[in-house]
Amino acid sequence: MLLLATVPGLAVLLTFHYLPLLGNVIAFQDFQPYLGILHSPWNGWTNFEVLTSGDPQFVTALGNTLVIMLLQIGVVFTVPIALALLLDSLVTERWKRIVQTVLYLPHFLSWVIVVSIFNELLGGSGPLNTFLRRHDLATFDIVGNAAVFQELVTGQVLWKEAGWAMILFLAALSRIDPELYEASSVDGAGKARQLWHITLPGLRSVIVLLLILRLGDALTVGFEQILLQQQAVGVDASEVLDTYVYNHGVVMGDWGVSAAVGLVKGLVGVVLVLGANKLAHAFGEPGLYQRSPR
Amino acid sequence: MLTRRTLLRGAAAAAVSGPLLAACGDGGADNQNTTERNQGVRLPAYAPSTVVKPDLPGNADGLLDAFLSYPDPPVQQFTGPPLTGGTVSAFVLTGSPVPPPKENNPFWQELDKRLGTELKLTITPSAEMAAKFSTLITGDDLPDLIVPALFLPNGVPAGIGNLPQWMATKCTDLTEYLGGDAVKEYPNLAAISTAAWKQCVYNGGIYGVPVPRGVAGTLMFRRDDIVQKVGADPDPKSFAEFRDFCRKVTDAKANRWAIVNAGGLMFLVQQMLGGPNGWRWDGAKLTHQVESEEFRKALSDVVAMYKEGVVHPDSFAGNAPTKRWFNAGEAVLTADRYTAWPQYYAENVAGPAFKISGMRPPKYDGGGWAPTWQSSAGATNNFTVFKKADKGRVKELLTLCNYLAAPFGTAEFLFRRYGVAGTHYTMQNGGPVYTQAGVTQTALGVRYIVDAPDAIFIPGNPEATKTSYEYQKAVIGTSVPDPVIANGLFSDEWSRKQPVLGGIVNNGQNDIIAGRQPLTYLDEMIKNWRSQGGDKVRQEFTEQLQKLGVK
Amino acid sequence: MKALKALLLTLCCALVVVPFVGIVATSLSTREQIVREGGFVIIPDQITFAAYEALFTGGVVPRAVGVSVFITAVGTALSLTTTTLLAYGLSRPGSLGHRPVLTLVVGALLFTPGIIPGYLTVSTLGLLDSYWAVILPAVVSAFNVVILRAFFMEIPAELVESARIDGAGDWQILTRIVLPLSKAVLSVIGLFYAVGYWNAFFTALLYLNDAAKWPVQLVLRTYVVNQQQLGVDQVGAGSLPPQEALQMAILVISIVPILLVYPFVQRHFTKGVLVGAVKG
Repeated sequence: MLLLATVPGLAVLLTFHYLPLLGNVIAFQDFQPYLGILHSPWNGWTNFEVLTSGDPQFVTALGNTLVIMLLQIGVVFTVPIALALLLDSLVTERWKRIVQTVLYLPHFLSWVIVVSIFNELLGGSGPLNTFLRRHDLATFDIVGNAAVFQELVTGQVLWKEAGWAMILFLAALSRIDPELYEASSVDGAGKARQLWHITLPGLRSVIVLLLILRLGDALTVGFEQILLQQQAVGVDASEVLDTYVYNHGVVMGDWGVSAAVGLVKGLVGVVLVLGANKLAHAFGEPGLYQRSPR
Repeated sequence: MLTRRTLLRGAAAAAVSGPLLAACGDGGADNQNTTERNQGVRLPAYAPSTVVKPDLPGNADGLLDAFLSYPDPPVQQFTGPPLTGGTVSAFVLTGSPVPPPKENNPFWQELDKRLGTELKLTITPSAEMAAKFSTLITGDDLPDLIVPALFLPNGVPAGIGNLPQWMATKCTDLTEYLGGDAVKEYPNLAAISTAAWKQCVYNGGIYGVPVPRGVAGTLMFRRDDIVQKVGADPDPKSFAEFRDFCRKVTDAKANRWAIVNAGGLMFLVQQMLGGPNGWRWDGAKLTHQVESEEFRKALSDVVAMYKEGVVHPDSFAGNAPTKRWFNAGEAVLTADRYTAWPQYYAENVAGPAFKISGMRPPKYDGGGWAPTWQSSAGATNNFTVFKKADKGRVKELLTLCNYLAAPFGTAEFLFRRYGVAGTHYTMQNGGPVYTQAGVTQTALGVRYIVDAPDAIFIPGNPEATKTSYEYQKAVIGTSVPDPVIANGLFSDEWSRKQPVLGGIVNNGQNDIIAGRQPLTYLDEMIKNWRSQGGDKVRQEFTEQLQKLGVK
Repeated sequence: MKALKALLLTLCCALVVVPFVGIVATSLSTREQIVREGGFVIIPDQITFAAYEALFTGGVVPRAVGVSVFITAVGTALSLTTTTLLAYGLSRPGSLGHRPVLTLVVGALLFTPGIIPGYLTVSTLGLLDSYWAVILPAVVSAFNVVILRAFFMEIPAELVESARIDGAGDWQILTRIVLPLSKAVLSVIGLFYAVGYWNAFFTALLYLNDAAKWPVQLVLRTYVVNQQQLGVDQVGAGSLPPQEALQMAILVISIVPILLVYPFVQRHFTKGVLVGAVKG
């Protein structure tokens, strides 16, 4: 009976996800769109060679990806939580709503717009630097500066997504029993203790869940965002896995290579998700999969 | 269309260019796309149009006709619609915001009426062409006319493997309809230059109709009004004087720099040095621009100039709005195509004082002008292929194309480009000026199916038209082509690897100019370029040049 | 402490508000000022609605907004229904076959199909040029299923058990207990879906050949991404609203509808929903 409820959703997943997923066999083909999957020549593991060739550029790309990922997980998880807590502690309902609405606005801008806003405002001829130059001050060199590119990218993600990421935490906060707070203040607990003993535990399972889900996508960091800014800072500072594949495969219309990398990323995701899930269980968290039926 | 400017933005102009989607092929046994076969194609016999007389005539070197005003009244070339009923479907690209759908689009409705058929268009933004095209060709339900002009989202032409093979299996070889004198049946197609038709040759046949452009390519635009105000000599006589010019017009505190980007500097300084346009062929050895001594010298000069701060500080940014900087006077020079000339006038905010012209490159050490580079994309913007169809249908489509290629000065051209007088444009000072409805409704992308030869015409500004014409006239005689383009060479490796090789040059050059790498990095860059495919490309081209006996 | 909090939040808001004021201001500015100020105006010295007039008289934008509203409304309704059912079906561990189904869902999260196979599926089903081509493939997001399931599972087992003892079936448990307790997360998931449909442009690009059917985000993209290209062949467009203003205006238009929806979602973020239910 319960399984019956899953049928419509499963049907959609099978039709529009798993069926075309079979198309990923082109990872083992020299795929030519006009020949189609059936007639394109097979080429074994050739498409995976970009990943195994040990090209120093690939190593750079992988390194950058990991650094940016860590930065993003670090910042893009903590700031929204902090924001959610901050907001939650606001007294007036009206202000709460206004602030929330304002903060989630940037989520609706496409990367093209976000990048151009950053460039216009912080660029060498933008209002900030124009002001500094007119007053004979040192210019604020952040856009197009390879040395701080990874921080800039993270900052942009934060600006665009922090308010949006906060929403789920707010929903989770709403489920915490207010009586717990009342009881603990009767016991004389301070705000800090309440945060530590009530609020964070209340958020913990959501945080863990989101972290695990993010890990599944760990090797994906802002493709369009980075591609748009690559010229300005050079490849060494900005090449990530997705742009590497793009620059080395897709640019030449090489669909097989991008499918191959997609598969590998999926596999890495599986390993990370399963591993993180195990870890979560070890700490007594439900994680993604419930351990066993109750 | 979009390629050259975008490439210049970062740098490495000629390095990445070449015929759009020049031939590919996997070199297998079924590969019909060989230089031998392509050289043997009977191209359409050229018969320039005599329908309209230009105010300032072009010439055989590639100088375009110029018009000081739109002929009034315009010449009516056709008496009735080219087709009688039916539908014609086309896959086209557009660089403009999407136009209103047919039921809200009087221009489109009127176009249908004048063409005598229902035109069904799949309009795709140029930035998304590569993805859309790849899916389109996996299906078998192709439109009648297809524009296979592919660009990556950053405006670089996308390499697509085996495009010629796709054309061989799915598209019509137009040679029997257009080759030699056969084209005379379609006089407006016969008026398209041979150089443009060359870009439509694949698999030993004519596989499309071109959208022609002038061969003059890119030039260095200069804000004459600002130069005059600053009091600099607008025409430096050597590199040293040019550097002084740049220093003089730069005033960072006033938000003004000499040039929009370092790529433009590379472009100009290489020309001063007489560097190769794309490739250099000395009869025995083929050298790519990047490997030349001129490139090295130009790079070191540009590095020094960049350090001095004469280049706009945000120039390396992706999507840098260089046109706006130039119009705003944030930069005095910008390298752009001829077709940008009217646009700068249309969008200028400096008022009537606004004046631009082309800056000719002097010889590096003085003593006259240096030759300029011809367009790196040949004489076309793009071309359009025909889905395989029976003879009668192909002839119908060619009749339609003949109509759509009615030359500048005709009533058909005026309608096709500008719409209906009063509704879509108004005549001001002898030139049509769009209304709001005109801008949005006419952006159907029909002009990318086929077009008449380009003409120099800056609406409502005969003086500017004359300046543009005179500049082109002055440089075209001595301008140098890319030998690879001029000889119609094809290299499979080149067509596939062009974006990658271009990327190596572009990134390396940017790294060096921005100071992230020392000048010596150039050697590593060249080594990279050669090993990633450059040497193979050279070999393929060299064999062909030798076979053709080019000296 | 309070002052510090207020200061922090004000600062955060300012970081967002300033660029957004710029977006609105630029959409209302003249070409002269936009060019003079480098493309981005914070304080317009002269307000003109020319860009908005141009967009609304062109006929493209109002229609595209309508299309987007339709796709978003229908899609979100479908998505919420199927996702709730799927997540609920998976939320009672031990039910038959729940493990392989869950694996399928999580697998969908990790492996994404390519563009071409996706296109072939849609075209084989005969959905090309139909709004369903944009809606159906996006109906179930594995991410949302996993989230929703996790929230469902946190509902105290005692509640469910006592209902069962009272003779409620699975269906009644879902509608009477689970759903009312999950208002907050359901509104969030609904918002996620709605925003997903609202922002979708790539599937629309691939599956909708007829530009008359394009949603507002795809139309917006033709204004934004082609920014550099625009005008190259649009000779004589000088008297018209500048490109930057048009871009920003259509951006504003595309954001307003979703802004209007948000307060309704937010209403459900009130504390103590669960508690009340447990007591009751």
